Amino acid sequence: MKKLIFILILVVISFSTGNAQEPVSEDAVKAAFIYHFIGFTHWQDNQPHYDVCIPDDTELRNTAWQTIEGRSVNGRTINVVNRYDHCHILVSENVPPQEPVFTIGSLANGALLEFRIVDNKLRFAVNMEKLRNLKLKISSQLLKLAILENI
Amino acid sequence: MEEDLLIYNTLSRLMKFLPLQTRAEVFYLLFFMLLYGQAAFAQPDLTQMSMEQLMDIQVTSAAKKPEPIWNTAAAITVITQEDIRRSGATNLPEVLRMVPGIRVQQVSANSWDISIRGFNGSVYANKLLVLIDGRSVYAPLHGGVFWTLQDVVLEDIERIEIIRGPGGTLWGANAVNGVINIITKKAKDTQGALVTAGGGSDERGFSTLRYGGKAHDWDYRIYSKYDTYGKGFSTTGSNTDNWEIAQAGFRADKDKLTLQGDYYNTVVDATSTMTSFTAPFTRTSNDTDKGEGWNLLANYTDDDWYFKTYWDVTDLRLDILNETRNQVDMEYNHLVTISAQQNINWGLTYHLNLEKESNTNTFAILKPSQTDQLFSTYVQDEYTTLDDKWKFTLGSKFEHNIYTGFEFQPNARALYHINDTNEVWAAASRAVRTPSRLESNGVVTAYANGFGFVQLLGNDDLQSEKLRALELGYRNQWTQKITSDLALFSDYYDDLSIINYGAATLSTLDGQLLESFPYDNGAHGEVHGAEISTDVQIRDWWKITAYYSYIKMDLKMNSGLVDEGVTTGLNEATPMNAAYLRSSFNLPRGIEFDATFRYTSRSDNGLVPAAPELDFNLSKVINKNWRVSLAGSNLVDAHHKETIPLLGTTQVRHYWYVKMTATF
Repeated sequence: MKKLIFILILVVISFSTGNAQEPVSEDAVKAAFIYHFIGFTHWQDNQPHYDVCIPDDTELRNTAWQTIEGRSVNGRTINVVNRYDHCHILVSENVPPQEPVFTIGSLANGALLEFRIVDNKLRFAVNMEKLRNLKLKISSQLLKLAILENI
Repeated sequence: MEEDLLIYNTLSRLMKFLPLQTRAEVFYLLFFMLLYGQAAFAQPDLTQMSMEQLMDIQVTSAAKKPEPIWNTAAAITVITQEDIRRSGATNLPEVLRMVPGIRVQQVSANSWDISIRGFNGSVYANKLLVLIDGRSVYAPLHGGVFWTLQDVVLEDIERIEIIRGPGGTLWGANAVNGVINIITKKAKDTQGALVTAGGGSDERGFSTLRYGGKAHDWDYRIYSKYDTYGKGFSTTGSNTDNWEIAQAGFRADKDKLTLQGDYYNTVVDATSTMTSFTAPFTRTSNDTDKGEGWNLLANYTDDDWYFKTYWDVTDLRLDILNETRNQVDMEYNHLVTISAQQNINWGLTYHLNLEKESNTNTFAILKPSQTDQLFSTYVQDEYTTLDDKWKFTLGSKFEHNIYTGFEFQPNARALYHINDTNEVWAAASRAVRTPSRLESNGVVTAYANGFGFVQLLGNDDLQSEKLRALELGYRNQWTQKITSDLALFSDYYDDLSIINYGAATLSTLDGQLLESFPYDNGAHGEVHGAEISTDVQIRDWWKITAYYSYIKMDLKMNSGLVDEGVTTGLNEATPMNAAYLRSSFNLPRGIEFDATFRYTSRSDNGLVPAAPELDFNLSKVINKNWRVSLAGSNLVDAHHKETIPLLGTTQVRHYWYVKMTATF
């Protein structure tokens, strides 16, 4: 019985040390968000894949490669690439002008969506004016969670 | 914590339904699962969470530490695609100017003297290994790199990793004072059409056409490019050192398999002094040197191993020598994970070299038809302590080559994480450089007026040059916006191959005096230095990158040998100090502006003055398809010397160019 209690204590300790609420890396959460953004967005094309361009941020790209590359959304495969063109989603501070690309960067630079950290949690802001001018349809489910700017 | 308790309570409730013996077993099982399966628990699949749940996760907003720079016990610099674009550089040598510890010296419009941690000085810049997608472009003829033959579509480079210091354990002989690893993008990262075109002062013109697409399960790209460069500056203006290169190639990727290849054709206008054994014994030839070549490479990369093979052909048609070289290389690498703490990396390489020279009186290679093979293997063990504080690496390369037989190149490295934002590392390594064909079998003959012939003689008995290197490094992420990287090194060289003037022999040839000087393992010495680099993100839109590098060479002839200026010449050829400061602005409306200040100190003998230089690059995104840029380089003066003036060297001019980039 003593042995059992000893093991029990060990198990509890292991749980608390091994799985304490360690903060998750920002990139892992960003990648998961991007995965959801794809599901809530409609692009007017019929390609068999979604191209997620992450040309500047090597670490985020590697995380996305490990976590969302090859996943299927709406029957299309996610393709994480290192380029600026031919994108469905582009994560970059170099935002191209009008085109049906879901740009993630800083709103000040003309991006559609910006990740923001509020109280150590990841939020996102959407530039509504930009959205109106884009040939993109974004679900209201996404917008209701966003910080809306330029309404 | 709440979740843990919940799991525990649920388990406890379940336990009550089990007999005591089984309960104990379940706990044992759980216990072992927790001990050995923590990784699985620590990495939940975040995509299974809803956006609301994701918004409730605490994130670490620690600034990023780019791999492989951090957590590596070696001095590494990574040039990203953005660095290349923003630098305004139009060829590889110019790109390399941004790396601490590298001295890029332009010898003439068509030749560069590039070395890491010392040993600049034309034929002595021979201790560096350059790889393009794992294909070595080291020229066994003279041990250097023909930079005019190495071209890559700069837009298609994913990154360039530069290892300052010995890399012999992984890369083998000739990776003595550094490795430059150029890695191009996957084909899926270069989809669509890319067109660049530009031109500027000094009659420069350049263009690139690239198209990337998909066919069946393959991603592919094909490209062609053309560059033409004007001549450098000389006081007489009679120099002919302009050159041009045309290149085309492809890359195709399917899952784990990559196939790629290139073809290039370079034409270099050159003035050569040709030797003849009849009066007047010497003549000047204004002709073109041609270099042509192609290569094919296949790479299969699985999770823990890769196999790579390539076939590389170069064909040199120089005034002074013709050479055709075929190289076939096969390489297998395997990463064996022993435990979460330990892994072993090992590999096998086979390299076949077939070469044929056709000689002239000026430059001849004895035994002009040679086939040689190189076999090598390496094994390296990496151990990380349980608390993740220490990482140790121990390994060695063992190889056999035709010139010097068996060679071994071990290294031992240790890295200590002081805390999340500070790390320190140290390394001790040995590396060797095998003699080049010129040093082993070359015969270079020139005619000196009023004296007779002078001849440089290869030495078949040359041994490898040996380096023992000690390195120490420190990295600090001061704040999320400021990182610094410091590396110190002490290199101890032995058996350096130099021209032994003291062993000259006198004879006669066609009634003229002939004095011959052999190559010898006649020098040794030390090189000490430091490199410090810092990145500061001042604002979201403003970044500063800076470095300072110090190199002090102290080579000496072995006792009993006459120096005749060989070691002093070498000691003075590498500028002791170099500094670099780049300011990068991201301005509204898609405008990027970069200004770079570069400085190299004057050579010890005063023959090369200090060179403060200024470059800028201004680019603007016009619309989703077009980008236009304007760049200027070497703007401090109209022209300046980067190397000690010798026959054929010219000065570097200031220049500007405009460039259009279109993607469709």
